[in-house]
Amino acid sequence: MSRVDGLVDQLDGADWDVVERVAQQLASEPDPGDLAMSLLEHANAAHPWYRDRLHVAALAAARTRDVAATITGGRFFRLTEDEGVPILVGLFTQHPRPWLTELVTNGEIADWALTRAFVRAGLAPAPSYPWYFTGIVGGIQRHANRDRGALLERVLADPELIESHLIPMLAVEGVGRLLALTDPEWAGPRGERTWSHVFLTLLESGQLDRAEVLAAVVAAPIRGWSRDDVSWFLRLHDQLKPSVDETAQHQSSYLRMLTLEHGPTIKMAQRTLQPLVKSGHADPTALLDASRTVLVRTDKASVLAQLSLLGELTNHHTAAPIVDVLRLALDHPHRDIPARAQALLERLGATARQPATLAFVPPDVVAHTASSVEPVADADELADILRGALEHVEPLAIERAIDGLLRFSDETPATAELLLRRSVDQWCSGRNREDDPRSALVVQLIRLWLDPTRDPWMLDRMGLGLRDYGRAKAPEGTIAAALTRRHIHIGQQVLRRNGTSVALPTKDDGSIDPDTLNRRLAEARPGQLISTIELAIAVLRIHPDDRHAVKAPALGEQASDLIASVAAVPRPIWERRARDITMTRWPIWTNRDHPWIERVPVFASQATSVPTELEGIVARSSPETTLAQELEQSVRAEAISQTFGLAAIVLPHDADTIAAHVHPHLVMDGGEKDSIGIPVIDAIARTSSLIGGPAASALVLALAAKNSRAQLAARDAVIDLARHGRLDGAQLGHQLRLHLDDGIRLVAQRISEGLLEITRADDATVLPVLAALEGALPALPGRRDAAPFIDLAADLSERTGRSITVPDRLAQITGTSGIARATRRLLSSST
Amino acid sequence: MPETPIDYAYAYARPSSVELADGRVDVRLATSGGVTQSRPAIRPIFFDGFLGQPEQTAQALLAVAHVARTRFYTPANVITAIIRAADPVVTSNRDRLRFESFSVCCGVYARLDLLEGALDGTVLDTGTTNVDFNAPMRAALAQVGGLDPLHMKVGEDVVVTTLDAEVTEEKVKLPYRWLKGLAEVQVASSRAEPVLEVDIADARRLIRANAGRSGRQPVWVTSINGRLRVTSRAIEDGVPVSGLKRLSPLVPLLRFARALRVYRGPHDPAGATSVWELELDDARFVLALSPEISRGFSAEGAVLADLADPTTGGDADLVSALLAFEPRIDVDQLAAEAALTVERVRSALVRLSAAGRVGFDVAEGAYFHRELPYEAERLEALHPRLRDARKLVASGAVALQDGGARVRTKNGEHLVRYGDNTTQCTCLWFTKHGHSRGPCTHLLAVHIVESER
Repeated sequence: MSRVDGLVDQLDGADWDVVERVAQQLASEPDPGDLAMSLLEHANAAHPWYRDRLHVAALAAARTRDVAATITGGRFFRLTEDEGVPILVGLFTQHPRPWLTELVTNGEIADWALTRAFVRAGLAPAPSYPWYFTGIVGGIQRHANRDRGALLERVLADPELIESHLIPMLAVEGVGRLLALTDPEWAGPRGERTWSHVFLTLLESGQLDRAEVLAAVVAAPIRGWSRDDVSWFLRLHDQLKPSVDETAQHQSSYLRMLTLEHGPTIKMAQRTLQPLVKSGHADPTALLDASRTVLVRTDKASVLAQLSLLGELTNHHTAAPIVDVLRLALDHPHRDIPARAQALLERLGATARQPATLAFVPPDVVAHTASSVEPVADADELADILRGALEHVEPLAIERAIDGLLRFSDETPATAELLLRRSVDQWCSGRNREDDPRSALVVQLIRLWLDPTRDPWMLDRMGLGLRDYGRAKAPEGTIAAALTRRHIHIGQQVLRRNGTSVALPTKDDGSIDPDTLNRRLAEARPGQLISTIELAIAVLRIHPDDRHAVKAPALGEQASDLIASVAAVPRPIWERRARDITMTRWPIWTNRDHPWIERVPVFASQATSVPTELEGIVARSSPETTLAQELEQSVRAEAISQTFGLAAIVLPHDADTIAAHVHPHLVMDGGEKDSIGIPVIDAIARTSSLIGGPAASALVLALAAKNSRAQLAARDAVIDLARHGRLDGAQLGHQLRLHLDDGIRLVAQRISEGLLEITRADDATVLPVLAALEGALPALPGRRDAAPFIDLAADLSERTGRSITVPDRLAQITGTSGIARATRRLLSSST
Repeated sequence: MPETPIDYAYAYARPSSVELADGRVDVRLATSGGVTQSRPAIRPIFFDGFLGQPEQTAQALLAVAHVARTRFYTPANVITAIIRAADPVVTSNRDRLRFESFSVCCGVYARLDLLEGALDGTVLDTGTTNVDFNAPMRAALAQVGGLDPLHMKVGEDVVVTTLDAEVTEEKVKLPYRWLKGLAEVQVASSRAEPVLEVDIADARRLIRANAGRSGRQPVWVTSINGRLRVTSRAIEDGVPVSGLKRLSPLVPLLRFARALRVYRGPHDPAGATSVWELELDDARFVLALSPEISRGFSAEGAVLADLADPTTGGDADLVSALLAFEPRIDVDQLAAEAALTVERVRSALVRLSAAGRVGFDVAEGAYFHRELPYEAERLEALHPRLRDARKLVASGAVALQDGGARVRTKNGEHLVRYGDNTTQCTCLWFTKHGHSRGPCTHLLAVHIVESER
């Protein structure tokens, strides 16, 4: 057995007196060779509990600065027990090493407790690098973990730390978040486990200077640090309760805080300044200057608090030029604020600017316009489109590609070899999931077109919305299953080179004009097959009012019957239900033992006769049967979003049906990167008819989406629909009310903010949004987030001169709460 | 591809400092490296005097420093920011000081122009250098109030007795894409056109309400009925922004701003470069955002066609010899002095901007002279597409044919086709990006062969 192995055997789990004896022996040896590095290797591989014993021995054997730095700077170097530190301190006191000072002052010792112990023992001077100070928080707390009540005792046991370290520590960037991490709010303001308690105790006992601590605490929020570094200081500041004299001393800092963005900092400054302003000792010029920044903030609370400060200021400084500053608040969107500012102006005898009172005239409805779609010119252009679609699926490009494949299936492009190779590479690389349209559709179409094997096996790979890798296809009744059927039909025609294209949209909203379709049907060549699914989809793309104009006498009775039956499909009647879905596979925190239950709104169409070709597309009569599977698929937002992009363009005139299909995905559509709802919301915006319940519900859910682009898409859709006269405001409000009543998980504040922005953006939205708010009012009593809705309703009612019905439960609310004030304003504007 | 970062050493005589005493703020900015009007300098001295609008200037300097230290986008496979932020660069252009910084993610560029009215002191020299913005200095700068006179020294005549003892030296590894992006942002800015000029109250509302929004997909800022709005639609006269949070450096400056002007690169539904210019009192703050939050300026490739043109090299050398840290380069005058056409001077300036030797000021619509304190020749060599294209040409891989060309690569053959309005390639890169990031390697190779014919 080598000496290293012997030492490792001896030290593994050994008592600390054994470790100390071995370390003393190693430190005394004139030349231990490369023993230190060998021991370090074993230490890094050892069980974490016993690693520190080997580290102590390795450091005792180190003779050069570089070796010692390698040991102490390693990521595993941490003396997990108190015994290791005193052994090393004793060791280096007895055997001074010239490089120890450099290790300490350069910050090359990863263990703060050891660094501190060397400094306390006088083996090295206190270093000045930031980590030495921020390390105090974790360094002491680490040892206190076993007895967290001992934090104060640990600090008290190191008087030099109190004397010269704690206050500089408060000036180091990053310490705030460490202190916040170790001082959980639930520990209570005087909890003995917290650093706040340590500081307050040391202040009470006079061991820390209150003026110095307060100066450091007041300086922290204005140092330009991130908000995570500031919150702990704000809490300690509140606990310090500065006097009026102390506030006056730091007045410039508090005024500076008013100009920052961080809301809690502003509120703290306002709270602290209030007594100072009341006492008449505030600097009026500086306060007014800072107020200019606060009064244009968008949040209500800080602006109202600032107006309150300015109100106090007028009691003492009547000559201060306050009027100009107060006028800044007159344009604030929250109605309470202009009212308060106006009251202050009146008190000062200033004339409040009267808003111009122009009669509200809703703008004219604007006609919806769509651009033309050009068919691909030749096989080369088709190859270019498919090459692009391998990277990004754009629904119109896919429709053009489908049309091109059916027309040019017997032609070979110049880049055939390259395109085929790339599609095979993409499939084999597994870059996209099997059910991603790039793999499940584009790759397979290319191979069906260009692969010389002409293997029908590729048709089996055309499955959108696979539940699991290769295990099961999308459940029947879903739009993914219906689209898959369509794609397989197209694939078969490409393979057989006998298809005819009839369903290419003529406009970029997915619609076809009837004349074009009639011409395509008339030009169909004998011997060429028109897929019945394609024919049905082509008719579906005609506006419902024009479908009766589609004729295909040359195609025979069967085709004519199909056209007639598609034209006769009634617009579905939808029934809304709320269902609790038990999820066991997703979100990530759920499992069979602790399932996640999500309440989901679903829309079911009344049973009606639908052509087989359009099953799963134009109706959704039993949504509950597939709801759980669809909901759990939402985790794959990118693939599902692309699938709905393809689906939306198939149903250009029926926003409600496509909205009903996407509903299971909207409730958990919270991803930052991709949102499933966006393609459907965009399709709703393009719709040619008045929206019904499912589309209105989808808009409400998208307005509340976490994904900011989905929110914006919903706002844009509401504006477009209103401008084109297709927004049913009452339906929108009804759906919002149902969602709130049913307890569907949504952030109502996002909806109220969205509606406010919408009404500011376009006058055409004002009346529909007012109708929506009227519809939603019955769900608002008892909700904390109700005030912005009622405020907006009051605004719009005043602006339009239209009165709305206020439910009794709301009208009976009294008091001074935001909801009560907003309701009173609404009542006064609605009478 | 030269993945190895470039080692660069900052050597400051001592750390920058801010002292608040006797109601006066003294800012001493330590400088390191760069060039002055006459020669390269170790620690140049540019300015000594008072600055107007102390609080505004302090906040704007902090915003510049903030951009330099920030990674606005972290790729999924990067766990921690391993790149040490590079220090801002200051240029003295006779009548103004320009502070420039570039984010760690290479997608956000910030510049503060302190104009003539803001400088009450002596401009001691012209040139460009690095300035130290250390943490204590930033903390002190954050406390500068509106009434404190602000005295600033850019560079100091510090007597260095022993280099080892006095100099604060720090070596950093600058990734090549960071250097290339900092140079290319100037080319992107020069192609941006003014799109919006908005009322500052409206700008405040919009930026404050949206600067905290997450999300990577581009959205468009547009003015409808005289009011700013964010929309999800790719509007042709709107300004695309991917990652609204990248506007956050503007937020602390909004209270000082008098106007906001927004410029945008050529319209592209997938996103375009946007330049946001806040007009301050005697100063301007400019923030340039790359087309996508996950895409830095380094891969824009807008300069590649000019770099591939063999004639621009000589022109650029000639033009650069005539530059003298002008705050606004007069192209006509330069053309007359260099005896070149205006077009050739413009191409030469594009080449110089890609080499970090001139910047572009959107407010003035003109280039300004500044020499980034990094090795310019390295910058020119940092275009892998151009390098690969030259290799293809040298190996005879390009075969011109009727209506296009065939380019043979180790991964197979690519077809370059001339269309009515545009040229296309069948390579994967072109399929993904089209012309939005400059030409692909194969288009460049064909361009080189054609220009050599």
